[in-house]
Amino acid sequence: MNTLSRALTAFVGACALLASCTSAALAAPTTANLRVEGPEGHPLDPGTNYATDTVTLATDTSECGPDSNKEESRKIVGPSAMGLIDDAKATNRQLRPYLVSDAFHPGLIVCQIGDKIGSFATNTAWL
Amino acid sequence: MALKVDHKEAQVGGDQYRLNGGEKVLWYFADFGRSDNTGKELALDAPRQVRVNEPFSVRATAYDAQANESPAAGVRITGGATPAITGAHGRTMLTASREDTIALRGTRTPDIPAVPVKVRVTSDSPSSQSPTEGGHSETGSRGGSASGGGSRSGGRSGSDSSGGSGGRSRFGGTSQAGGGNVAENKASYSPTTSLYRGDGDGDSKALQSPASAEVRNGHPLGELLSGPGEEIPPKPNSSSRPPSSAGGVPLVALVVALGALMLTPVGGFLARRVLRARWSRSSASADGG
Repeated sequence: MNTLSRALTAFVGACALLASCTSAALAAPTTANLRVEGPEGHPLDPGTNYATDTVTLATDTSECGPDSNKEESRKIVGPSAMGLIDDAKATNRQLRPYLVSDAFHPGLIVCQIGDKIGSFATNTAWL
Repeated sequence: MALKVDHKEAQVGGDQYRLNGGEKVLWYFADFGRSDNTGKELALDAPRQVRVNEPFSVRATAYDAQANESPAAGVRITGGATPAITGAHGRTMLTASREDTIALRGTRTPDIPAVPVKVRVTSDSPSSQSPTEGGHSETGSRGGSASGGGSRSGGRSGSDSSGGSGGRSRFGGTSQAGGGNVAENKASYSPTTSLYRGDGDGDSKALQSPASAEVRNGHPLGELLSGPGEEIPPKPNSSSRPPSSAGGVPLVALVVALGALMLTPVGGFLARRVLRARWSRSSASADGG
């Protein structure tokens, strides 16, 4: 009986683990329209449909101020507004470099899109 | 502050804002020192096609942080024969002096400029082309100058986002393909979409139209779609994934439910019966042998 109970417990645990892993892995890519407006009326992207999904963003970048968390990258599971830019930059080079920072842990901030740096400069921000 | 989705200011960071598909995401560079992009979000509403030297009406609207729409007075509209400023109701009249495709742009400090709206200027009667049918396609030069004089047909393919607080907008069917060395990529590239809506008088009008963008070969992560009906190309690192989670999650849920059932007294009883039956059969076969 004890063997049966242990086996059942292990089975249920495995199922729960499987469910938690697959729910993230099965997140489907989606499509959204991205518009990026730079300063002085200069659009970096006038509004384009991009497919987006889970992304891994480098956060250990010297251009984005102090790196307090020593994490070199951060994974954003599923389609997100921040991941949309990362996927778009592969097509639209005006969006490069695209840099994010985890200096304000735990959230990420956008600190640079194209040649415009924000968030760490006075009075300017992409956030 | 610098992220709006469907004209509504995001209340969470961009890494936490989950997209379900079809959203209009706007990232803007806010410069508070120069009062640049720190106000409302502007949008223009103009006919898709006008006649040469015939005045046409342009309406400017402004979206606040909650996506509430209001007429935008004092917006400077450029792209016509001469610049014009919108009046109290956000309207002004423009003319175009020659046949071409013009891009109207609306600016007002400290607001976020309107997306350029392309208007085709012809010598034909506007009624000769249906403004309310079909999609919208253009063929232009690389860089989005839309100088190719492509074809357009109207389409009420967008949504009405008027007056709401963050109502979602669908996409129209604009496609714009680069020429020259990127001509082979036409089918997979669409730098923008147009949003059409009726303004109560039965006309469909373009709210947004393309300006400029780059065309790249291949199918990178940020693959572009030429319209809402296009199939979404998979990302390279997710090519083995199913196109949808439908079916996968219910299966997992079923397995978990069965596992949980096994923990209940009834499930345990059934499991014991199965095990006993199998043990009995194996014992009988052993005895028989």
